[in-house]
Amino acid sequence: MPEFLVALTHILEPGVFLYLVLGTLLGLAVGTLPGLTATMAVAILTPLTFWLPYERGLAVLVGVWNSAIFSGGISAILINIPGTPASIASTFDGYPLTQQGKAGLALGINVLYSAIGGLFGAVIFMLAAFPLARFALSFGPAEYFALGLFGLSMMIAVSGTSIIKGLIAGFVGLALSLVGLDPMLATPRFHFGNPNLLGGISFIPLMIGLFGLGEVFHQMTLSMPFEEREKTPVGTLVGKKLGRMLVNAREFLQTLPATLVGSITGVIIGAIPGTGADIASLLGWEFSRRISREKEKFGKGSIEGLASTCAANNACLGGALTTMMALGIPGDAVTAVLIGSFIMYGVQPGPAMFRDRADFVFTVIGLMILVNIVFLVIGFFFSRFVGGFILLPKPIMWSTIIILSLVGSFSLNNRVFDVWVALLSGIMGFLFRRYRFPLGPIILALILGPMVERNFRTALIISRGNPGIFFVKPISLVLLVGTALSLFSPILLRRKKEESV
Amino acid sequence: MAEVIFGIVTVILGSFILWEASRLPRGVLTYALDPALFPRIIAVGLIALGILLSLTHLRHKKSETSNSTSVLHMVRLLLLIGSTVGYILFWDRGSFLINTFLYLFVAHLITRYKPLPSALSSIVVTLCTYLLFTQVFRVRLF
Amino acid sequence: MKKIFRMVVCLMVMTLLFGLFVSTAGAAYPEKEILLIIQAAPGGVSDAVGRAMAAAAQEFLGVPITPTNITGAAGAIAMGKLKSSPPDGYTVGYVPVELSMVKALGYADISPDDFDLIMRTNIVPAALTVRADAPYKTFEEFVQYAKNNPGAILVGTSGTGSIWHIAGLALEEAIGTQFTFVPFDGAAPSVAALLGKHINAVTCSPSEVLSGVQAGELNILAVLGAERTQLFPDVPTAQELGYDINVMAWGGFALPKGVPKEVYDKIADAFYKAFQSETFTKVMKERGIQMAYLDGPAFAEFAKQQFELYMELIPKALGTKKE
Repeated sequence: MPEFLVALTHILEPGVFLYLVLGTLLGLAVGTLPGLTATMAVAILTPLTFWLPYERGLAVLVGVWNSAIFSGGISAILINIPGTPASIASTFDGYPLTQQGKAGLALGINVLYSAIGGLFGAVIFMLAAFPLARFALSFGPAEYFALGLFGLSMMIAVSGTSIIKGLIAGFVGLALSLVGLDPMLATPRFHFGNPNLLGGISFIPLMIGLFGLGEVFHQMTLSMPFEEREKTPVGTLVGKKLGRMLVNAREFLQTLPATLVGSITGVIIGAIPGTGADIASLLGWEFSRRISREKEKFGKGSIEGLASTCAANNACLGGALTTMMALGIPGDAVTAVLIGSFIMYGVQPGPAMFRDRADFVFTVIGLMILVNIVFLVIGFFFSRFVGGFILLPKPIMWSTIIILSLVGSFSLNNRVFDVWVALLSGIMGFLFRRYRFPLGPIILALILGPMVERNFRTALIISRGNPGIFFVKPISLVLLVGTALSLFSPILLRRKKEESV
Repeated sequence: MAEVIFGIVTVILGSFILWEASRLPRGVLTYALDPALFPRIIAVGLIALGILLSLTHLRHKKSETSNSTSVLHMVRLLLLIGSTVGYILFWDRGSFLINTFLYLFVAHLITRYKPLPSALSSIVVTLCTYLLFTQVFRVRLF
Repeated sequence: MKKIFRMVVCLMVMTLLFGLFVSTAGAAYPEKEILLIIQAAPGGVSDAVGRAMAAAAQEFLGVPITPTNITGAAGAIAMGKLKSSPPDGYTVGYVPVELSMVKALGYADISPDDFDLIMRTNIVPAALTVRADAPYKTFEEFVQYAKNNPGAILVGTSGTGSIWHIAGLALEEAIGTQFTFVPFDGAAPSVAALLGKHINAVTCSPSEVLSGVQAGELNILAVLGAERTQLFPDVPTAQELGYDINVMAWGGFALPKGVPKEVYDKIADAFYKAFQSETFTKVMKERGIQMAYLDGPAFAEFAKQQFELYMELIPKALGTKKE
């Protein structure tokens, strides 16, 4: 296999390794800071890497991409702000762990399981690129609808103490997702004559506001004697130290099934065109909750939950790359940008590439494997270092979060309007926290609501108005049954309990 | 008590969406359903949930807030939000570095941090943010 | 304590100086950095053209050109921003076919008359693509099938009212039959749905279906623009086959209305040189973007014609025209 050897010599070249490390470091910054996303970083770097030989250029891009997805979890764990949308589910269990004084462990899990998930994705890509891509294509509008609905049923699981409040939060999220052009007929809805709202409310500023600014505003109002204010580390309950970072053997075995489920979910969601790491992380969490023996711990600092979502969002990358390289169709937003850079290097993604440019394919696979090992090492030390951030005096930490949130929101689209969106959602996030409305359902609704609406209506166009389309397709049917079960099982369980009493 | 208010606000929001949805033009594609369908479903859901929330909490006098908060804390928060509004209003006017420094300095004073370290940390944070976004990420600030 | 204070003052002064240094402005054009507004997200054709032009033209103008992506509402936000920018030559914008469409779509009150157009750089023709295993192998067979089965063919588009939807509508009208249009969120998902056998055809740019055609899974039947495409030189245009269809996306550069003549000439000159430079042509070639130059006045004329065409076509597409 000469192409394989060519690729190997590329990857083992010290220059390539150096660029991979450089990319990884950049990715750490992009991922940790709220507002900067992997998509944006890869897009900005693409023209800059064009003058490099392809293996070096790819090393930078692959490095940034993989490490940004992983490091978004760091801020999710430490300060309850997802660094990128792919780490939303890391806040569910990661932040509670920090509040329990186990920030170190949470950070350790984030690094380790992201690498495991990433390796899993890369290996699947290597072994089964074409079958996986075929499977991904079988997802049509009916399946997307069922998948979205299944995801929305998670609202109940992430509602916390009050299901009514959780559902209200979810429906508010759905209402927000209505703003903008109607996905089917492009009718402007709820834009109140403001052209900035035609494209919908930008998701990232909203997320930054809800999680970042909302959290800061909330912490500011928590009663605490003023004398302690400068000494007490943030996270309100954290001890002075991060604590151990490595999982022990028992914990590792316990999280194994969840990790596997998370990784598989991640790869499949990644491979399906149009769904990315954000959806992968949420669904990976939900699927492993379903199979877990300690369901009730999920959302309250479960290491299984954190492990599965960390594995899912990084495994997603391998899946997204599979569809992109095997079919020439982007699997998610980042791969859409990557297609551009592949073409710049004179390679057209698609089945032909596996035949004509096998060296290129092997190089990408090699880099995807190597990057996980690189960020495992660098990420471990980086997490330790950043962990110190929560030990800063609160006022400094607060103001840093606020300014990064504001500038981050702006930098996404270069619109001041988005900064206003961030501030308003910050106030909303504060009220929600204060009156114990969970934030998880809003985010779920914002990500999945448009997908459900669009695909419900698209499926009906294709079936010419016949709702049977949702039930004759096997994948769709299975997902719908799963949704129904999750909606009714709490009621059934309660009845069973009452009977046994 | 707060829950009842939230419930009422939710019902109002739902009704508003219902009303707005009724004014949306209907589509032309035969099977695409009209653009008001999902808004209607969501609006009805909001109204129902709002009523439910209000009813279940009518008997409780105390609301489920996370912590008791002093007036001082609230004033502090309102001051911070106010200065943030000011900062965003002056976005694109003046210089990013000066505006941001002033804003951070005020924010630190509001959170009752000592003036000297406040100024110092404001400068450090301003410069870091500026260099990071303009030099590394090529964002055009003002 | 004093030491710290001195340090603080020092840093403060530095911040101020730095701020002043950054915001200095000059007198004769071009004296400072030029902003290039790109109306689409990074990664697409608009972004590639915009960034390549920025890189090439800054050599000839002698000042940096910074591309900035401002997205939203089919580019209406970015074009609105360009329209309201001071006409001093320090703000340039990439303008796509939507320049002639957003008014008809009802997104914003923007027309080609609001700008001083610099040049058209590229065109992207629409193309009709079907699966290779479909019962129709040629455009003629497709037309026959469509005529015999009105409404049966599911045609995927990149969104209602988008340029590729208009292409499908033009095709429908030229053939004299009916399609069932299925809008997707962009061209790529519609191609995925075609490959996954959820729909029967797509009308989008040839580059979107390139890898599917190369793999032998898709079959491109006809180009719906005026000329054949470099990507598939063997595929005929619909016009060659006797159907009057000409729909294409295009792009170029524009300034806010009212730029002084000498500034306009300087920019137009530099952009023309950049257009011919290797930096620019290399990117165009590698990305498979068809270069199609028109100078400022000709581009303005062209954009105006397109504007009038879409003011007719789009209301029909959206069904918003009064009956």
